[in-house]
Amino acid sequence: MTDLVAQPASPPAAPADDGDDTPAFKVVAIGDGAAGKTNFLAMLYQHLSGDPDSERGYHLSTDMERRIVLDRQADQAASPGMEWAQSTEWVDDHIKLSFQVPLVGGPAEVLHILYTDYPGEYLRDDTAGNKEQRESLRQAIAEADAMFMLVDGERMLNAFQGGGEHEREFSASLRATVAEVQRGPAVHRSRAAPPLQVIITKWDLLVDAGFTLEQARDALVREKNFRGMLVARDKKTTQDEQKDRRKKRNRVAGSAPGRVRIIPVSVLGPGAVELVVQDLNGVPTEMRVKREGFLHRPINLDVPLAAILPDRLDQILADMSPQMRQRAERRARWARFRANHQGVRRLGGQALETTQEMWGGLVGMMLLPWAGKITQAMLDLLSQHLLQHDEFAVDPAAAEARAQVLRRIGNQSTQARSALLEGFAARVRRFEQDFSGWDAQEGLKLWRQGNQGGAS
Amino acid sequence: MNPPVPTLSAWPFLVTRGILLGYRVVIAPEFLVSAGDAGAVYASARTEPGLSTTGPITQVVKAANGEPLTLIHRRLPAAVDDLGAVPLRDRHGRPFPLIEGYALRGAHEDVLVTDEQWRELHRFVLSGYRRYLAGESQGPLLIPSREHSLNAPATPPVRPAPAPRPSPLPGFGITMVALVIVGAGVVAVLLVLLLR
Repeated sequence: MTDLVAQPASPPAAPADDGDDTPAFKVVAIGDGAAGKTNFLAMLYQHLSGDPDSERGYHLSTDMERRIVLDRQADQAASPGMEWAQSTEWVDDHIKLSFQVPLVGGPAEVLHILYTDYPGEYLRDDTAGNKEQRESLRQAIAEADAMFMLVDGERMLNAFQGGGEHEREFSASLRATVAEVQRGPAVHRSRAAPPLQVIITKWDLLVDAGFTLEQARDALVREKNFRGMLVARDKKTTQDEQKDRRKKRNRVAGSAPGRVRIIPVSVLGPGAVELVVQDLNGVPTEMRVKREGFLHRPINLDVPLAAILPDRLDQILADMSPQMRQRAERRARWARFRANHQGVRRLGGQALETTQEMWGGLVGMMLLPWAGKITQAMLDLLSQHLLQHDEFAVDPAAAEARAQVLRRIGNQSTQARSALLEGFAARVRRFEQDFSGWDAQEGLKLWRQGNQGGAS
Repeated sequence: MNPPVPTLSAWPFLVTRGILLGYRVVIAPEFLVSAGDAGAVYASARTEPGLSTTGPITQVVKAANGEPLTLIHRRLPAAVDDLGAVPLRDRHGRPFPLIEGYALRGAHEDVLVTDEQWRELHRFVLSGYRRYLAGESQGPLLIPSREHSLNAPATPPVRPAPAPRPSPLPGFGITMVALVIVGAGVVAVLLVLLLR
């Protein structure tokens, strides 16, 4: 007899809003099938979670069940032989990675990345999966705060070395990927295009074959669709730079928003993988095989994440004129004032409940629905208010002690966020120094010079 | 003479990928195929951390017309040989599973699938999958499946009767409304006094 396990009819709901006010960024990696999305995520997590005491100043964490899956995939990716993660069959848009920053008394959670993994075939095959699945992916792309565009280094290498059919496959793959990157912001026209980083995966294959980042960049820029994407973003960049000049604002990372970096990434590092003819379903085929006992030296795994946050913050600030910012701040102050005022009034009624026994039960009953909305700020305001009335005995010393604790936590939180941003910016600067050829817009400029300004 | 064993109508399905093409519904119940809704059984491919995919799973989903469907399915590694010793791989060298099962119209619990019925399903699915692979380079093939019979549960599932709701006392609602109105007025006066 078979053991049957009942499952819920519908997919599980998104993680419940548990009052977590840590900022979250939705990130989607847009890449063709087998471009390396799943391996990149698993190795990224393992790389950035395994060393909390590193000089990086942060580490990643996730929930237990997610960690088990990511660790298993990463272990598989790092093991010798030809086994890689199984191809992905379901859109998974609930991947939550949290940045932890060490503070006195323990790590502080300062930022969440909400990541989406999915079958890359959806980009090129409108019959793969089903309608709901493809719609889930479209939704994730439309809502993304930042995008990684994944270019398959293996397809690029094949195009470099094989020509003909391999070049057509590389072009087709790139065209589909660019189309989705471009469609994302078009869905929500009111929003600015989210920051974009181009990641060339399996970079070790290209390095081992003697190719440089400049060559890879030029190959990308030679593709008409890729150039079109850069031109669209370049316009945005120019506008932003004009805004910046008007505002005379200093940037965190020194780059304009909309700046597209080409980041070569390898999850295992140079020399770890060799192309070997293997039996593939009875047909001799050249496959990527991981060498036995090889020391793994991942390349730039942490750079894409480090690049999106400064870019996103830059973009948010650049999109806000000083007047808009002032209006937003005024609105926030007014909302806080109203919330606190209402809180005081409700809590005032609750306080009366303790002295006016005659009406106590009724007042308590009426206040019950608001119990969950009472905030620390309301309590503080109430304390200050009650201090003016002798009949309510509130200890001023205890109130002051509580205020001090709150102030300290607030300062630490600000420091942690600031430290994280500085760490990101420093890492991106180091990458830009170490990898000549990272600037896609520079590649576009060179291409235009070489083609006397034609075809853009 | 033994009484006839009650049966349920069930349609085989298969969700998997090919060597070239990505995951999709390869075999689907003919009534879903003719309705253009074969994708309804793709829900069997759902994976997420903490969700077991090893044993047979029963899942109730909705077809596009709102009709509930019960999917009873399991995952097996796709293999070059039928015994599963040599994994089948996609063109990038990655292994993948076959998600095979039965679809039943309506919501059902405790449907029995015998070992023999799983074996029969697997034989049917493999024969369809071979046809799919043979023509994959020409494009995806969707194979409709015909009705099979599964054993109905020996005893219908027993659902606990819903607990009777206590009937409100006569006049309770009116009393509460009056209390709230009076209370609100009093509280308003008290709050004005407090905040003065």
